[in-house]
Amino acid sequence: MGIEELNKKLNAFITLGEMARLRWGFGEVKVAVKDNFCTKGMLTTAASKILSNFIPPYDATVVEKVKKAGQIIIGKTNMDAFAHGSSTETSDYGVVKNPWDLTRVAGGSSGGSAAAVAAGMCDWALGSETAGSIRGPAAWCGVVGLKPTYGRVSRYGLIAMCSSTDCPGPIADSVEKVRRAYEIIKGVDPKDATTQEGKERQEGIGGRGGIKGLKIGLPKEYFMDSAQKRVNETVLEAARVLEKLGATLIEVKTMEPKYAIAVYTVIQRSEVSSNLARMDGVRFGLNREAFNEENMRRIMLGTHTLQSGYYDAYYKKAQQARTLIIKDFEKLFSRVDLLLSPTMPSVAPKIGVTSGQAMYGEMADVLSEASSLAGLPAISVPCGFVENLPVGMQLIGPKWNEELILKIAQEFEEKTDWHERKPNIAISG
Amino acid sequence: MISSAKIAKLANLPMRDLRDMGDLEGKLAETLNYVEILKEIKTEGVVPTYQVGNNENRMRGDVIEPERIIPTGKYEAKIVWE
Repeated sequence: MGIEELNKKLNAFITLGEMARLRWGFGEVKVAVKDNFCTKGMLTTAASKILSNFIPPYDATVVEKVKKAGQIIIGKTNMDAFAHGSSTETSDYGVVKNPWDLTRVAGGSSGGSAAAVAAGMCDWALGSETAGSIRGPAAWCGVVGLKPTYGRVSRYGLIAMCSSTDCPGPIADSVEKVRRAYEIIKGVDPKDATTQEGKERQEGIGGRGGIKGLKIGLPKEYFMDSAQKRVNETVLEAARVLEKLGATLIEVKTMEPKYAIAVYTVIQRSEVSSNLARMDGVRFGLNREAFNEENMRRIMLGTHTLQSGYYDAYYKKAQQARTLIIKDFEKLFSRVDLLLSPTMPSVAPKIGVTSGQAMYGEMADVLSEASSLAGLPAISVPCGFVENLPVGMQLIGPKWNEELILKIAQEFEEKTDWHERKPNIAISG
Repeated sequence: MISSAKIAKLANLPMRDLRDMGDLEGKLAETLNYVEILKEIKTEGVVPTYQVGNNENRMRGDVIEPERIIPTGKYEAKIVWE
């Protein structure tokens, strides 16, 4: 099956460039880019009708870096409109289907990027995460997704959703490919003042460079009672693989993730209302009538929480609670080297089951929100199957410690073969 | 209770479209009810974190960067999605 035919089934791409049709040449690397990254001369919609006519005059910094590395951008992937969701069901261009089961969602908001990788349509894909948007779809599509430390990768040219947590990152079918892509896109950018040169923690808590003696914390609250039981069990089995390699598993206590949902919801809606104020059809795009319902609801809620008289109770309160979340992680990382948990509390749900639930996205991303608010790096790796659907395990590291979580993820991958399993629909290399 | 007419005006959103959105106020209330649990968190005297990244201004020379000038007419918007 060709890539265009496959895309008709999956709806992973909004735009497929000419390059997508060409056969893979030796050593060529084909990259799919989430549609909220500006690509010079190539339609960039952020999956919203309001930008259905927007052709950016410049490249996002990460896109420029991919091009400079000699890699080929084959197209722009589908997502939740303005990344407002965790299933791509809010896309104005139709939902992305999960390559493992076409009746299920691929996750979101970087659903098109994860599905394109799982289906073998590209070598790797650029995604972006605000809270779970890389890790979540990577878990549900059975691929690897890295959310770097906030400030490690430039946001210049990324259509802003929640500026204080937005973070670009790679999705691929192995840790090694994710690492190579990460090496390309990372780095300080004069055009994004929030980027900086963060330093890796030199001395580990347990391990000294390797997995032997490494202390891995398993947050009790992240193996939720409300989660799918077999998902929790699968992740615990995966943790034991790391234990056999010499790591010590330690049960730890964290702040209840339900608070992170509330904190994240307020901060994100507030920043959304501010960031989307520029979408007015004056300089680009259509006018504000072209927003979809989810976009309008989020803008309205954020406008409410930023209003004079409500600001202190919502926005400021949430930012104070965020400080407590950061402190909670600092305390944890004085005891353990990294944290391990399920990426998502369930496997991919059926398309449509989430419609009408105002808080669906936030509930689905419950295990990613706290670490995103704290700006921490995290990786999701395939660690098993439940009902023939992939399950992801996430490793969360201290700030700037991408190398550590990549190394441990790689050790896990070498001992297991979950990442080698492909859906039947996939184009074989 | 949240007044969607007032918020829509503040948010510069067309009321005409909001009327088609069914139980808009109900859905907004659902979210606001959820975030009520923020009240359970003790935050007295806690310094808010608005930004976890770099907090220093980044300066650059006040010079024109030719590669960032948009060529007239080259990338004019056009409707490609119907």
